[in-house]
Amino acid sequence: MQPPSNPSSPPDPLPLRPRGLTRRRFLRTVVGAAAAFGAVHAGASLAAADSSGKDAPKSSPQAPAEKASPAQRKKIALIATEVRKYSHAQHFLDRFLEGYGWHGEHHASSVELASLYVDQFPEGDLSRERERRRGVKIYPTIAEALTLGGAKLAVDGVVIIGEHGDYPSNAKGQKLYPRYRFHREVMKVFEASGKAAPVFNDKHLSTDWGECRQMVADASRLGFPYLAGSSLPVTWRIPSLEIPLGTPLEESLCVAYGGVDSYDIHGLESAQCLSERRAGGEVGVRAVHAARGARAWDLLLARNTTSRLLLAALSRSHTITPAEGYTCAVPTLSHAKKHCPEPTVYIVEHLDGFRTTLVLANGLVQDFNCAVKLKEKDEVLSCQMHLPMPPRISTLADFFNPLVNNVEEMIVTGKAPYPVERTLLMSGVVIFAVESLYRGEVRLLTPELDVAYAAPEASHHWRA
Amino acid sequence: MAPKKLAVIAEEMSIGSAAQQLLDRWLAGFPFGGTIHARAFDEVILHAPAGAWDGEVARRVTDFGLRTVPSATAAVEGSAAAAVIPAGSGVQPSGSLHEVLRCPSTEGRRCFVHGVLAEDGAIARSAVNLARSRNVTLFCGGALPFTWRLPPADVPHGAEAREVLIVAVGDAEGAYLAATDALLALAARRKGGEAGIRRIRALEGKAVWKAGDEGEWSKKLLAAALSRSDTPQGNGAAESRPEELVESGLVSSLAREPAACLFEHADGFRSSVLLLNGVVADFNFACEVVKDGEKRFVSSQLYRPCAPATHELSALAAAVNAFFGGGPPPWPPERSILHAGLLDVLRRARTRPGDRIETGDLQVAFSVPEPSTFPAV
Repeated sequence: MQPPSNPSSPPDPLPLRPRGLTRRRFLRTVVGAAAAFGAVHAGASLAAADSSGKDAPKSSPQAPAEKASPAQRKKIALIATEVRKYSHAQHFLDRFLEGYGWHGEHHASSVELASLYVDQFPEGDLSRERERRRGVKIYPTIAEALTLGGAKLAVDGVVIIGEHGDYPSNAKGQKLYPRYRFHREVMKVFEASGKAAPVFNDKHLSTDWGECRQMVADASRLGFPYLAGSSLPVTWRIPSLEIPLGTPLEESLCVAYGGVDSYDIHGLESAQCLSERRAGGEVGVRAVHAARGARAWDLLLARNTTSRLLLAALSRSHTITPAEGYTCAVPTLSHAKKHCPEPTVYIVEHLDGFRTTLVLANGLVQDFNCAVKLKEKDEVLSCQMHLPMPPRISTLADFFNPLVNNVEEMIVTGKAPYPVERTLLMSGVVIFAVESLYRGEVRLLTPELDVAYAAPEASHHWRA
Repeated sequence: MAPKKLAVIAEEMSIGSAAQQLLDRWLAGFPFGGTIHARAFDEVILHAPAGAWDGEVARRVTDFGLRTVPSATAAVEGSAAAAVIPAGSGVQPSGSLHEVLRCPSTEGRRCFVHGVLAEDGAIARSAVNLARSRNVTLFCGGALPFTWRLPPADVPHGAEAREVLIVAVGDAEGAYLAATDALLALAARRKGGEAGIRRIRALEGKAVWKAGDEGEWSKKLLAAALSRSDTPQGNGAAESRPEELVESGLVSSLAREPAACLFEHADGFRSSVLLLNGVVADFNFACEVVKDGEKRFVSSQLYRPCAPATHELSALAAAVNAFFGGGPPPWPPERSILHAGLLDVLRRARTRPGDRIETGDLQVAFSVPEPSTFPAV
């Protein structure tokens, strides 16, 4: 992700413990377990531990992607829309080529970037410079990138970054990035080669629900590990919060910034990576209702729990617009309404009665903050999903480090670290939210979104 | 019941200064730890120099009932606690502290001092002695030991530790103040606690890299610390391209007027601050510890959230409020004596770069409680 060019239009604890856990033990589990004693260095591995140096529960390992000698490294192809400064593909490509900070050292990628396909070469293109300097060849077609110019699949993994670039938008305001086209081209090579390889798809799958379904079905049909989605679920959390798997939850909310069909997927996946750990797992979505402005505020304020979650999430923000003459704001609903009179709100009703709310609060915040209410308990968990976003607070978009590392892990191990169904379901929520807005902010029943899945026990966010 | 009053003695005021940031948090409350820390005092009384800030003071008088008084003595009169915020965000030692400590109404109260306690160790010690004689509980420090860490890592309490290194940025005075504040918080957690500092050496320019080549500071620790940075300059700034900085030699080519201070502690522990403007724009540390007989590195970024809110000051305000509320100070006053003393010796050492300066009276030993100072929630 990169800063939206026009944030106002579409571009991107008070913990409750589950039964059977003492408050102290629960707090240690949700926050302390994620704290890290230190970093791995000189090849020495170190189990995650809390700040006292005691070992953390084994349910939250975070080992770096397996290392291999350069000759042993698996080869990948990167399929990109465009490679320029701050484009998603630039962040991925440079991390595969140059390495990145990970576990207290500069981590050289566990996989070898063997080929590129780049769809567009705008002014400021960096792919050709990378080709010259690092010798990674840009092929004219996706098929050639996957076969390295031969007849059959010749790489061990495929990374599809269909974000940014000059593509048309439809009447609903969705930018028609060629993710599905890229995917189809990759499938053709897999089918022709009689074999497949792990695939990563950046952000949501497609702007069409049928295509989303097809993409995930292809992974099942051809038997390849499939990973997709946003960097938000795997970036730093402030504090380093995790929901113990199987915790009874009632409702979640993410307050973020950015636009429809852009940053909304990041906010939805931020909330979903917490929500999916609830008792019973994810069961799918019954209805989606999106609204803007005053109607959005009406939806937000209609339920006390939702209002409470909004304030809890805002209390994690580091970027709330202050009142004139001040630098730090105390979040209140009146302050939020004053500085964000035109929010965009998605209300997501899950099949088990759970609710997710996304608030795109442009003008109020410039970060991603989540809150979750536990079921039958008067307590709320909250955290910020930390994005060191360049150029505002960083030079590197290091929230891509854990995402790239998870991609490496999938390619090295042959197993997706977390289910693609999270991104499938949230892609569907984005599609129906866009549709809801397009049809006049109506509530839409979504029998299509009956996507059930179980979250992995292990956490995958960055915490060591 | 008499209203509970907080005296704030701010020796410099401007929007964005630590004084303004902390004052506002005491006036209006602040979000921290997933909740709102409500205003803890019924009344906040400010003594601050008149000047360009006056219009903003008037705003706070209207909005929050701030009361201003013409002297530090008048501010602390009848107050339950006092906060002294020196100029330069704590870089310049307070001219008001002794006045505050001598004020009759301060007896038995709690006093927070932002930044460094005094201009040297001897004056700091006299302030601590004066406070003790008047039963005033002191807490002196800045935000860096209290802010979030990415990752949330600390030196395990009581661990055998050998060396800590902090990469700092900014103007030398402020950077060294903040970095040594964090350094002392990390180092004092080692086995045996802080033992005091025996020698200090300041380095500039190529001498910084020569000292690294000769093992006077650890390149492995530097690499570990820099791996935590989100702000590499060079190709990082030009193209948002990550790159290895230490083994490649880029760190020395990127650094603008590099400088370092190396501390030899009384128990053989080593610590260093590398001032690396031009290389990165954030603070990061690494520490070598031994756990289960194995050498390991702990490393993290000392995260400073963005302006204008600079929420590391919320973390500090939360710690100060806990202290004002009757909690123990996060470290003993001896730590503030050592901090003031080492900064004074460092100032002198910087006029004689390369020389090892014997610290004489900085053999100040102390230990710190087990809980980490950075936020866990």
